[in-house]
Amino acid sequence: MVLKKIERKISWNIYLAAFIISLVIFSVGIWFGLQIEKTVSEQMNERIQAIGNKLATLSVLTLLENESEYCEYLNNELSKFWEETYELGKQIEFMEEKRGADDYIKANYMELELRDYLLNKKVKQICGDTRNLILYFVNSDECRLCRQQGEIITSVRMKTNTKVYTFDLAINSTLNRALISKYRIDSGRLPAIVINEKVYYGFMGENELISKLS
Amino acid sequence: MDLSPTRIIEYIMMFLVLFFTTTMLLIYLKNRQKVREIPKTTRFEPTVSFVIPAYNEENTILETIKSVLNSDYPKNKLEVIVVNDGSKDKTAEVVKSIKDKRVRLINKQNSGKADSLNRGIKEAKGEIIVTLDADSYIEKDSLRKMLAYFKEDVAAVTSAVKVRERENMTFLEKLQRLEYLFTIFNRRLFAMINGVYVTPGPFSAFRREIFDEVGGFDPNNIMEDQEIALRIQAANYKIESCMDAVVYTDVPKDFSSFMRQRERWHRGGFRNILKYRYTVNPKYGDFGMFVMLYSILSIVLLVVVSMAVATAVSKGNFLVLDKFLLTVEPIHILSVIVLAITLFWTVLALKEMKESRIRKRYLLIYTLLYCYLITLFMFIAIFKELKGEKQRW
Repeated sequence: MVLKKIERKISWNIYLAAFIISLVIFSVGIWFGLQIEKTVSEQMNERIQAIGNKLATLSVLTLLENESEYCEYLNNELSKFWEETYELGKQIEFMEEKRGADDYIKANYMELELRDYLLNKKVKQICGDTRNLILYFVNSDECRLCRQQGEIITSVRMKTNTKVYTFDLAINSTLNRALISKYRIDSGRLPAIVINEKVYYGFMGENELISKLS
Repeated sequence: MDLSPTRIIEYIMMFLVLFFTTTMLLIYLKNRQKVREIPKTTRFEPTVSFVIPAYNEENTILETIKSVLNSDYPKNKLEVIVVNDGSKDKTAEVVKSIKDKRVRLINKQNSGKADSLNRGIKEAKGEIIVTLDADSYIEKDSLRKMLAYFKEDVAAVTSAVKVRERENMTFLEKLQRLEYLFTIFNRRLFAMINGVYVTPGPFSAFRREIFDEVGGFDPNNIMEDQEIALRIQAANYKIESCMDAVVYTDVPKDFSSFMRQRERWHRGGFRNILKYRYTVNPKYGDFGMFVMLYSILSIVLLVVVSMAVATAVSKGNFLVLDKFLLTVEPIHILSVIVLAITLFWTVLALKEMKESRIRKRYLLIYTLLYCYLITLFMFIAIFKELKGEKQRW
């Protein structure tokens, strides 16, 4: 018997329908993902805003007469806000690690940090406490030693009564430019640590750092 | 949204996986009645020659031959040709012990399965040639069910290769059982678009004329059952697929033999796909422009998508919901969608195969882990192939 050959055809209608359906599902997936990203970013910014408002309220107390009478209250509240701010910072760091940086959130967070720093500096003046305040300047795009130095600073922070405020100079914000100008930070020599208004460049070991704090 | 070059490639690949699965679903929906249809067994009762190549199969050959002789088919239209490929055990003796004139033994020097098949085909008298592995067992009505598919333009018919169930099956065997069921269903769908790309060694039927048209099995090919199917397709002959003609086969029980088997399959498959890459051409219709094109793309596609899904799973912190939300990107949502669609497709296939008694945990493990595991083996096999590493048997 002679075998018949088949006439080949291409099922264009199936492929077109599949393409359209896939495109719709794909678009929905992308849209949904972007919505979640947007919602998470918005919530984060709201939290930053909320803490910022609380700090603003607290700072009013420092303008009152006999402001030293509020020292205990101020220190307690600042400790609470610091925990919140620090936790928020960790989440931003985590998010940056997993899905990339969100410069807008980071810029807002650094502004919050600066407000916290300034308020703590004022409270330290008024109340005369021994808390150490460190400004830590890094560049997340190009700084070989920043991560290593960050680990040392975290270790020191846990062992001493120190608050650390980190500013990422990879973000070109007004705030960063102002800080660079004020402390005359050389962006080519990062990491830079500011302790008691003095700038230290390059890697600093734990003991050296602790000695600078005292 | 991360739009780095790697991410963009991941998105493209993910879209292609979505497209492929959606196409298969649409093929199913368009041919739903036909997929389930069993052709009425006609009076087509040709003479049939079973060709069974055997190398050191003393433990299984007897049962294999008995399953054939037990077929619900006219005794005078059936013959069994066992080609003893230089076995070092008692395979020949076992075959000789069968006192049935329909069973013939051909002894030859060891030269491989494909060559043994060709020898058997040369000696065969049947109008239909059925290839059967020496460790596979057919049901009483498997042959009749396959023969019902032989319309005048059908050159070959594939069967439903299932894993032989036994007591104390290993976890790996149970997963392979699922995989084989899924493959039967997919092959049936490929038949709807004349795109069947393999005539499985365990049990396939061919019109004798096709070997005159396209030649016999390639003795230099390690996946000779796939190669001949691609050759038949390239010559524009039809291959049908029968979901009900069951053959039971044994599968690797442990990881190391499983890996060896998969390495052979994937390396052989890779060589065959390269050999027939010219069929990616509109003149080969759906076979060329969908089946072959996707076979080529799948090598890169599955690896990239698996890595994306695995990365998405590893990057997310699922234990704490608020941390999980911090990591979510669109690629993760798409990964979940792809996983969900794969799961749905597997469930649908099993429902069509009337195998809904499969435990849910095997289904989940199959979709979430096993599929990616065999993709990893594919990647390793192809890597070895490109390196020119020697094939282990």
